[in-house]
Amino acid sequence: MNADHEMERRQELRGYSIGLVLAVLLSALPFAGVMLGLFPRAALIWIIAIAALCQVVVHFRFFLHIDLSSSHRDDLQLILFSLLIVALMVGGTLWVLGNAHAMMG
Amino acid sequence: MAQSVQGKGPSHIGIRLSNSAPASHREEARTQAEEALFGFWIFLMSDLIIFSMLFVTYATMGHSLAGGPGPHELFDLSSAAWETVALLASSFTCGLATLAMRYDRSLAKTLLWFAITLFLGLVFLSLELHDFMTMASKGGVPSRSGWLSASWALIATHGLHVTSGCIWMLIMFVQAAKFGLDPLVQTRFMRLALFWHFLDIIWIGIFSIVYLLGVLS
Amino acid sequence: MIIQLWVSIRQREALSVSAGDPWNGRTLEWSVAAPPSEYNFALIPQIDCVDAFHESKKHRDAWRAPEHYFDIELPSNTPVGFVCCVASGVFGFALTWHIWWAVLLGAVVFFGAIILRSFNRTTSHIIPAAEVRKTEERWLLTLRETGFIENEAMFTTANNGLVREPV
Repeated sequence: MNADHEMERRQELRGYSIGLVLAVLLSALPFAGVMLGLFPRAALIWIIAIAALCQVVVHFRFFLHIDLSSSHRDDLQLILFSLLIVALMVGGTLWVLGNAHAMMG
Repeated sequence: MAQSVQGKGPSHIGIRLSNSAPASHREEARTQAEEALFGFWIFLMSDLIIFSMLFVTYATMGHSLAGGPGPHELFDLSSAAWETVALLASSFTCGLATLAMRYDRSLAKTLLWFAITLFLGLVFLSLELHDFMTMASKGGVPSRSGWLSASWALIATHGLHVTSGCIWMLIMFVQAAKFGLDPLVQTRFMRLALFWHFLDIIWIGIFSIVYLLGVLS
Repeated sequence: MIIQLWVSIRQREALSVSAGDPWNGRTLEWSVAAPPSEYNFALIPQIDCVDAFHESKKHRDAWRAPEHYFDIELPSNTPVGFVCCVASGVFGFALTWHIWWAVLLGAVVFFGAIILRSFNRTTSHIIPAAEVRKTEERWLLTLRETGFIENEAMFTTANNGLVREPV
């Protein structure tokens, strides 16, 4: 195997390692926060939500290799479109059922 | 120079499949692999929609305890933490397996990393099974309340996915032993890796929304 | 329906329309032999109007032999779809009525069929150009030997699949 090849390999390995470290940190923070009661409750909710979102992005970027470069444009567009559909369905469900809940309560 | 065909920089997962084949064949294999992977992405996104609907069902059922046991009594956060560790580590070893397959072209190394991934997957599953049995023994069975139905459905659907990932891995071991690391086996391993990473992402949602926010509320 | 099947099987020789165009059809499915060959079209037809077959008959250039024949790759026959269909039907029925042995059986057969299928490496086969040429030329010969019939004879056994274009 030539040097180019070896470099690419190392680059990818570094990507996976960075991904792992970030993911561990982003999981440990909310778990520790809740289990040890480090922060007030309102702050914890925000920490959990933001850490989860960040970790999803980390997974996509470092494990699934989805980024903004043109070779992944198709995959990215598919994912964004699916997210739009998910947002519509989730938002709509919460809205409708929230209303129903409020009216029955 | 053979490597120049391989594209620049870290490219799409699974694009660089075959180093020994002539350039034209490699080009063709790459296009086929890309198509297969894109098709698999479409499947994953449909799966994502299933999971989001389960999540949103869970969210709407958040307060429907019907007098039954709630997250405080039923959830064991340290168990969820260990499950997270097992699944995260397995995602990493799964990545290493694909690296071993694509760069080292070593069947033994590839299978070793996938075997470690499988082991971690089984650790995750046994922890989850233990969780389920603890929940049931405390009266937290799915038929008890709307909240329990929703959480069992969500967590068990993810668990079933991990189970099928494990079975898939076992089948791929047989195929790899039978056919070697030929392009078809390689793209299948690549799709398996995508599936596995995807399940990890779903798990982030589960431990954040179901376990952590559940215990907080 | 049984009578219809009975008649059409018993008198299949007399009723056959091997030239393939018994109703003076307008669309491309009538432009091939009856029964059609496994690959349907020797060349994928290029279409630039509605009712392409009708237009080509009007301009007297229907049933042209292609200049070149090519290898055609086709998916091979497989029982997997049928097996999965039956097994998943059994699976669903048994789940509904709590027949646990049938649940297990359906699941094992369903997933087993898919898993076995994944070990099959030859899921398609190639019909060589020479064989396509032979089949097509045999049919074109039949076509030339078949006499045109008039519109009025369409519903008689004289119809062998070639109807004269009304002027």
